[in-house]
Amino acid sequence: MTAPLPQDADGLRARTKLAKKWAYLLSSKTFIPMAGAELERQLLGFVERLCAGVVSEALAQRAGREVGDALVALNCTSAESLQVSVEIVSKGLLGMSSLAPPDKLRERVVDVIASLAAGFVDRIRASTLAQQEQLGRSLYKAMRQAQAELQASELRFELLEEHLSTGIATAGLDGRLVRSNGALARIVDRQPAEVTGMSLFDLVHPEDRTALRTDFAQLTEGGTASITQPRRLLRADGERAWVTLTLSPLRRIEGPAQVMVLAEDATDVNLLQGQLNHQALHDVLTRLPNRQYFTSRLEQALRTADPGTGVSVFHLDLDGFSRFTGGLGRAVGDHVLKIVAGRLQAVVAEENAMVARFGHDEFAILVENKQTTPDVVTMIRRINDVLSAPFHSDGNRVAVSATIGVVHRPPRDSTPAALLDSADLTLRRAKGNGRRQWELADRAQDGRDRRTFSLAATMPGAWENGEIQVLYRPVVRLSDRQVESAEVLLRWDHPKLGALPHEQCLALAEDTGLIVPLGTWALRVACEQARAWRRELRRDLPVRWALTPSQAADPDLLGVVREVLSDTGLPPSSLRLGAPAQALFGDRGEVADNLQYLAEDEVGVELEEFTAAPGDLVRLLDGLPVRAVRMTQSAAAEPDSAVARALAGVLEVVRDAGVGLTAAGVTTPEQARWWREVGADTASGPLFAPAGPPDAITR
Amino acid sequence: MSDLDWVPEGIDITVPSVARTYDYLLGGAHNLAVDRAMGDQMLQVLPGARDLVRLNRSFLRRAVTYLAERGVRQFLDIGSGIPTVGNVHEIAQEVAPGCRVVYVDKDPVAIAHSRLILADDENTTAVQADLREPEDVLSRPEVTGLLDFDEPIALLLLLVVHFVRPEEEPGKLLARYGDRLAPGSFMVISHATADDRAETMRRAADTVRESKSKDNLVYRTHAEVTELFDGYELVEPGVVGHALWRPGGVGDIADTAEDNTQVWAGVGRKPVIGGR
Ligand SMILES: C[S@@+](CC[C@H](N)C(=O)[O-])C[C@H]1O[C@@H](n2cnc3c(N)ncnc32)[C@H](O)[C@@H]1O
Repeated sequence: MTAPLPQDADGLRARTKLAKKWAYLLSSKTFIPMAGAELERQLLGFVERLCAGVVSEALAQRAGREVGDALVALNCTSAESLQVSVEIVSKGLLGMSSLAPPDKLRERVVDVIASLAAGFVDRIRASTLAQQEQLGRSLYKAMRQAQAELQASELRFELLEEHLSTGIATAGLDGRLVRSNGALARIVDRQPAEVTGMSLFDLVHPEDRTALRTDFAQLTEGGTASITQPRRLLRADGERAWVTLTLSPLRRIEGPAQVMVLAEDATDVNLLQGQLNHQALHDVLTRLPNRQYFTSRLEQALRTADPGTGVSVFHLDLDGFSRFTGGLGRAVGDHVLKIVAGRLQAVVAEENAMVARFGHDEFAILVENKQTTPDVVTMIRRINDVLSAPFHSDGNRVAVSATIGVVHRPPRDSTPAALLDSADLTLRRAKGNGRRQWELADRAQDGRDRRTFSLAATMPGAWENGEIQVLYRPVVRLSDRQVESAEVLLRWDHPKLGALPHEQCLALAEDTGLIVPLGTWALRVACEQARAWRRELRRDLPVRWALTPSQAADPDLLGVVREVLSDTGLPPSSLRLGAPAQALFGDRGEVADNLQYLAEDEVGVELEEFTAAPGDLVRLLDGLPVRAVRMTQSAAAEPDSAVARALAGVLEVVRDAGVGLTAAGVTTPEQARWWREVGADTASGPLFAPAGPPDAITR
Repeated sequence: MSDLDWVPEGIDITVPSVARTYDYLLGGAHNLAVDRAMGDQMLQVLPGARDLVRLNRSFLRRAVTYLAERGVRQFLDIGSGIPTVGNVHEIAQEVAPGCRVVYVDKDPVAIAHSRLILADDENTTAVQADLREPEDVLSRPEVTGLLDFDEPIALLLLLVVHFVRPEEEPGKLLARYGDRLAPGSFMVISHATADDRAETMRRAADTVRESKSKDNLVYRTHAEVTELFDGYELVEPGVVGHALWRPGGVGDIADTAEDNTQVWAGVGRKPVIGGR
């Protein structure tokens, strides 16, 4: 493409001079990203190209366009750059007379320069369009990114909104709430759905409305700072709730502006300030008076009640309430409590009475009796009648019952504390009898209960301190007096009271609910021991644990047993579990199911406290998966009595059905002989060996 | 009411952006009508504005070339703006092809655009972050992934520190970057001043303030800019007008003497022994 350029020194000098001047003018007009010398070198190239265009007509247009294009690439994009370029280059070229014949030079230079301008314009248009398109894409991308971030922060916000105890709402500029969280609903004691749609101005205490309007006006007038003020909200029951209210303008990409509302419950703060006592005396959930309020009312009632009729205190505990919270969730539990609160109030609506919530699932009713007040039995029946009407909660059909302790007409000089204590003890005694029970306070009984409860209360700590031991009592084969298995027992070595025997340990543990973890622990210890014996003695020495009624009915029993067996590696047949006959025959499906599954796992199931009564016998023979029955010595009475003879006959039937027999509490050789005669395989009792540590068995 | 409506900073096309206005003054077309309006307003009060950005860009080119020639291979360019012509990686890689560059800007469009341009270059990357949050900037995976803080790094802060307000304590802010840099690292600053032409510059700053942009120009004196280099050894000729820092040709200086010193510029080196 190169046409011969005049190679004389003058021509080169002229071209270099032009390039230098051009570089100078351009670089003082626009930023060119290169050092001065490099720019001059490049521009010299352009000059030579343009000269070639002047020399050869065929090249003129192309050379001009190329240079115009290259100028833009150097960032000489301004009109000024083009202007100086046209001016200086045309002058320069016109001065180079050797490039073309005099009559052609002007025309050729104009040609080249015109093409340069055209090339410049083309390129600048293309580059401007390209840059604008790039900018559009970048804007779009940045927007998308911002939206994604917005979404992420919205998610984070929703999460917070749900879990914070601070009330959060979004309001329109008119104060109407377009969105609100559960905490706000709780603060104003309304349903969440009800709060959304309300106006903040209706939720706020009338005396604070004007101030709130001023705040809103400030925000709508374009204020960007948020406003925080202590304010009073109105609860559904007309009470006020103190909050710290923060209003912030909500900037949005689309749609009208909004206000973000934060309501921090400031009740505690105000309690301290003594401004409010409702909350201090009421239960937040049910709005019922709390124990403190109830106590002061009771104190007053004891003083002022008509001595002829007195007062009655009902202390209620909902049966199996943990089932609602555990099984159906906290919300259902809360709902149930509110329903119960309402129903109890309805029962005593005619009376001069107060219903209070004491704690979790405990309620109390104080009735200042009148001549027309129904008697205690009627009251109890009414209470349980209203409570037992089923209702729906969150899609579940639920019904509740309560166990009740009653203190009826206590002496006028009783203190509220003693009275409530007594009610509490009575309630516990009632609970000991099962659900939906009730019991009247009895002073003598109270004393005994109090001792037992304090003992029971210290049991978990004692267990942790290692005061409770697992002991083993040998069960021997009556044929050869060899140890066949070991009964597992507990003993509490109480530092003050001495050793408390197995039966008392169980009774105490059963009272406090400790029995389930304690029983599991005992099982585990025993199974580990049995495993150790298998290894040491190289023979099977099963262990036997008598389940308590609540253990036998525990829905987790099967899981616990399986876990213990798999952890210890003990074969299931080396574990025997005694099930109390009453529990089994008491028509409690859970127990029978538990035993059925255990037997299928090949755990040895034995029947405890078998009475040999005809009913028990029939059920026993009715396919229960029982490997043996266990009878205590007293049941057999004296070996040659009539009772003993009758029993022998029954036991024959048991034996015939393939069920084993074991005797407990055997004290004399005669008894042992008798048992052997009626078909018992094994026995335990003082005659053989007392319970003791593991080596009591192996000795 | 519309005052409450909101679009993230830098994306609202009704608000001028510093990055795009700068691009306009440099002769680019990555800008919108609002940006050009603000640029034109600038030119009204400060007719030399085009020369100022040209001189600044020339200073950037000379400083980066200088550093690359002295063996610096890593560059952290904060407030990098919209990539136009003569970008840091192009300048540095011309000296040494393996140079690594991280561009940081708070402007989302500038960063989106940088990513578009840099997509194929594995030695460069761009991060949207704020100069005023050093720990955030320095812990970004793009930054820690590309730069080796045990080796010298050049921290480039061109025409950006004057957006940091006095109460944000630019000196302490920069020290938090400096603490992380290996000895032998460099810091490059260019910073507008009102030491001369105070009235003109005040009006220029007002132009920015009165626009809807959130950025404010804060001028600093020669002494204040020099102080920003606390703990660094200033490379010759020290903190000088941006045209006077080792100029190499006509493109590096302006005809108007004041334009040559309207921006203070300097390069500092973190000492190898002793130092902060
Ligand atoms: C005038 S431009 C300078 C561009 C480039 N450094 C140069 O000198 O050619 C300033 C840039 O700094 C950015 N910027 C302003 N404040 C910033 C901050 N706090 N953090 C990060 N970038 C910022 C702006 O978005 C803009 O892109």
